[in-house]
Amino acid sequence: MTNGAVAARRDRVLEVVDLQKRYGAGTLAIERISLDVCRGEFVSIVGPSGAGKTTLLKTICGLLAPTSGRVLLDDKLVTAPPPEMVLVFQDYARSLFPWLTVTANVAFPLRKKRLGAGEKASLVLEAIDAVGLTAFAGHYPWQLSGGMQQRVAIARAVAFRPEILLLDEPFASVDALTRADLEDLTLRLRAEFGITMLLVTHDIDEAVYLSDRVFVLSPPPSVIVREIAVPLSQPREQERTRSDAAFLALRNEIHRLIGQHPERTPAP
Amino acid sequence: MSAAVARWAPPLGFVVVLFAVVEVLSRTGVLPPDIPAPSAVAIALVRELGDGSLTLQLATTLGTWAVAFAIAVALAIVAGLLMGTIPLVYDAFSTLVDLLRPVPSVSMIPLAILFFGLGAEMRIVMIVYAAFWPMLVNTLYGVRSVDPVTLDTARNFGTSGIDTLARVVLPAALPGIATGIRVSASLALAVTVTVELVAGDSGIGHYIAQAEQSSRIAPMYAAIVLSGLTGWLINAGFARLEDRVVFWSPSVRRSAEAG
Ligand SMILES: Nc1ncnc2c1ncn2[C@@H]1O[C@H](COP(=O)(O)OP(=O)(O)OP(=O)(O)O)[C@@H](O)[C@H]1O
Ligand SMILES: [Mg+2]
Repeated sequence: MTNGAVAARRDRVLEVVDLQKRYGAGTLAIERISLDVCRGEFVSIVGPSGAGKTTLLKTICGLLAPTSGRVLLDDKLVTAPPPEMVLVFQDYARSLFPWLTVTANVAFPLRKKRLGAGEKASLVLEAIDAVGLTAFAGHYPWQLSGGMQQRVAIARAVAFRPEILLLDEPFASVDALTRADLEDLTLRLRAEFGITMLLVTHDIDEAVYLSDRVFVLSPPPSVIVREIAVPLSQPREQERTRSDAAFLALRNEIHRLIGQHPERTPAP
Repeated sequence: MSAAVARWAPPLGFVVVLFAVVEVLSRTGVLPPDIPAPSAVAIALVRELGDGSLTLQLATTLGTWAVAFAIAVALAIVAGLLMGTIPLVYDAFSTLVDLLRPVPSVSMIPLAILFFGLGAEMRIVMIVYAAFWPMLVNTLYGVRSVDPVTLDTARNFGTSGIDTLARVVLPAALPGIATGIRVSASLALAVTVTVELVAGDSGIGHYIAQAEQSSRIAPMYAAIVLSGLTGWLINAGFARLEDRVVFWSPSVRRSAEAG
């Protein structure tokens, strides 16, 4: 663990304690998970498909009630979705409102905020600009490509100015080039707006590339197998970071933990 | 331009040929006098509309239709939203809906006369009753097909209660509501003419019944044609409105992409 992370650890913003989640009387999705996230940190949770990653994020942000255990945000118990936390859904296409333009989608969550109309408008413009969609502000989500729709969903979350952004496999259904772009966009947004990031993914390389710390999940019912610090230098750059020996060592370690073969071959 | 010709030439051509055949058969006396020549019907239609006798009946029919249809739409949207969003209400009423919906509404006319007499009140009640069901079923379908991810998204941003209903559930259900409006508008007109025919003192239905009794065959046909045209216009109008209002819905988008 880096010294920076140790110092930041004291500034813990999110704490998950002995969380268990069972759906009704049926599936035990999460056996027992404890983790924490510090202010400004980028934390990833890696796990195989069906490991309960979506369940975990929905429970953390208060959309689902835990079966046992608790979620604390700034030391306050989370029982309903708090305004400091926003989830970007795995099904981003279904999460955008098809009857609203890009601008109106991004403005949607701001209605309740106690801000002037001018302030709201500039939050919306700024967020759309930050994801590079200014030219498409008047389009409807279904007129955009998958990668662009995902950027709209991210802009909407950023405009809301949460303290923590929860990202559920945000880049899983876009092509590799778009994916790299979106990864770097996420890092940029984090730097620009100082948002803490908690991301779940099944892509080990992506988790290592983006994160300060990675939690490795077991297959369901899930527990945390290992917590791994990622002491790679900042800022991260796709080619340089991914060919770093430390990067390769980390991803191989996680692969061994998850017990699957590498999906991507390392950059030459 | 040529695409429009290709689209409209076959159906229009068929109608023109059919009318021409009936015209000849009727004028040569092959057909019985109960089937008048289309030209005679057209002349009667223009004459009766021109001297106001049919125009007034049309206005009466449309007036009754509009009032009853508006009531049915309002009631069904409220009922559909309540049933669609509150499980308890849905459980309480869904069986009743399934039982009443398939009963042909015109079979209720004697019952309506029994309770409300022969006046305007009975007619309105009958039309509202008939138009209510397709409107309710389509609204309910719209509300219940709202994507759970959409609802989670709203909740995630702290949207709740009336706000969710007005800004998420209602727009998401709009395609279903629009279909309901189009379907029940046509049905409401059909029932309006029916109740006027059976128990009316004015309106197109009443006019048809009277023309039949006094053997004014061409005017009777003219009134039937007029009610058909009105129904067609109402349906076409609401279909256009539907395309405009729910242009974003996947089904409207699909048909727009296809042609
Ligand atoms: N609403 C639900 N009701 C009942 N069981 C559910 C529900 N949602 C998920 N599950 C179950 O919980 C387990 C974890 O599902 P979850 O969607 O959280 O996994 P995931 O890690 O996000 O998967 P993926 O990588 O495919 O997105 C699965 O066994 C799933 O069948
Ligand atoms: Mg998932």
